[in-house]
Amino acid sequence: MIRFFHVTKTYADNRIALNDVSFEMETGELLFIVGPSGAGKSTLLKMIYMDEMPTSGQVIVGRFLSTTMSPDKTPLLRRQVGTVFQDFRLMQDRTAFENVALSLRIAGRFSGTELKQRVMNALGRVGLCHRRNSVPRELSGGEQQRVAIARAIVNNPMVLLADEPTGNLDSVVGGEIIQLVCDINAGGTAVIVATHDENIPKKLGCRIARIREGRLSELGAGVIGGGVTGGGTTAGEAGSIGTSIGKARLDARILK
Amino acid sequence: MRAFLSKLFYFLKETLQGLGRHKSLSVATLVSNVATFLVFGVILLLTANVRLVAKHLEERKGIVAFVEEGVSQERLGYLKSEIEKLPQVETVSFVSKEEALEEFRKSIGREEILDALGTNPLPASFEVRLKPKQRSVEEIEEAANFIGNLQGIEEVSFGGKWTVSLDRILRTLTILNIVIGCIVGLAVAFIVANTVRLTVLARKESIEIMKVVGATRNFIRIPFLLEGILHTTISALVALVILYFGHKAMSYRLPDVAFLSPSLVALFIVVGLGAGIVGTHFSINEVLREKRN
Repeated sequence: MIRFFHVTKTYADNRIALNDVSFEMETGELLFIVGPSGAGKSTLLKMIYMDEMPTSGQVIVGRFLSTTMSPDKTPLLRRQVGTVFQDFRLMQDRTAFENVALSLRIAGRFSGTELKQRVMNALGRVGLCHRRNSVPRELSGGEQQRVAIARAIVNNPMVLLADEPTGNLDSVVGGEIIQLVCDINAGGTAVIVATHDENIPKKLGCRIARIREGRLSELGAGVIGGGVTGGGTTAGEAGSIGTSIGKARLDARILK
Repeated sequence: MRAFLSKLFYFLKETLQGLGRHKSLSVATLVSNVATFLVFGVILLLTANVRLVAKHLEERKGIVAFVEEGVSQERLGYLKSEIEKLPQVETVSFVSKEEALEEFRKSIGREEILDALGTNPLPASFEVRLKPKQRSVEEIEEAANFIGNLQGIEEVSFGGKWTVSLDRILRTLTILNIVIGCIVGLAVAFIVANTVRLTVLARKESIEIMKVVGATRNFIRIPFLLEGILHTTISALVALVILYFGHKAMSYRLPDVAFLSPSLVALFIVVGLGAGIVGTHFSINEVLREKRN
């Protein structure tokens, strides 16, 4: 579903953000990408929703190829990729309901009643139906992140990308958000979480990919480190946390 | 179809709510645009009135042919028909000695001077009115020479140097008008476009969010475009209303100053709309430009 083939990204100031990164991810997988700030995590996620394009190599997301991608196709890709950010990125002048509904209005396939049902369903999944009429400034950080997650999943995306989703939250609320993301994965949606906190995937027993100075140097236990240790394919079932993570299927491979 | 209507309804709702959501920004935009449009309106008003004065002066251009003493009625009829044959001539009216005296009496208002003369010294004349498009100095001179050479005409008067000066002044005024009108029109378009641009840039973050969740350029652009058009149209109309009442209030002191003609009102609104569309278009494109590095 998502494939990176020898992807290198060099910015205008000659800074190398990604260096020969190759990996593959299948439908329904859960992958944590860990690494310090500036290691290239966000750039890697941006390449998946094609906000950044590779300097060399190729990214494939579903039926979209970075090498043949045109600006008019980008919105179609982004409707199939849910994104969640550290700073929530909610529209401050709209209610939680309107923020979530935005994704559906953009997709443009739903009439009023259907749209309302889907939004309420998404808000229900993140436990925020009762706050649907609140604007972001009336919501706590955790609630805002839940609204952002509801917005990301309301369109049933093929993959949910979370870039430091707990970065602005305390550990308790952060844990709840990670739990929610795992629940979504358990429902069959592929999820990639980028975080600088290695403890999160360790606690979950999930497989992780480590990124440092633009190199995807290692995948978690049982997975062969990409670009460093050579090729191979490994898939593994995740450990469980609570009731839901046990259902999460984790499978990430490095292509060499 | 229902999804399309839902989208259409969303665009209209977004446009109206956009004004309401950012009240202070909307008010600042409106005030700035109204002030700019007022300047444009005053320039248009001046233009309209300069043209009106020029038109009046143009109409006063004509030829007066004084008739010799003792010319017969038949000859007078012949002279009139000869003058009327000229291509430049629109109308010819005969002013008899008595009519000339009566007019003179009215203009000086002191009858005792004329009574002292005993006789009527004023000659009869033909007042020749020229066609609007044929009032150039050359054409007037040509007609005046022809009339002056007719037997029975004593003297011809057509303004001479005054006509040449008037022509030059009118031509200069027209050029000045066009140049100033274009400069002010462009300045208005630029200021209005820039004001609309600021309202778009102020919502750059929202636009970025919409891009990330898969909005097409048109989905983002349409509500902004409608909002820009609405902003500038309302501003233009408010400026027009202020200008109208301002003109009405001034008309007690300056009764001859005319208001904008319907075509100038239309020009006023078209410039406003154009500025709104151009301003929104460029600023939206600036924000929407995709990174392709």
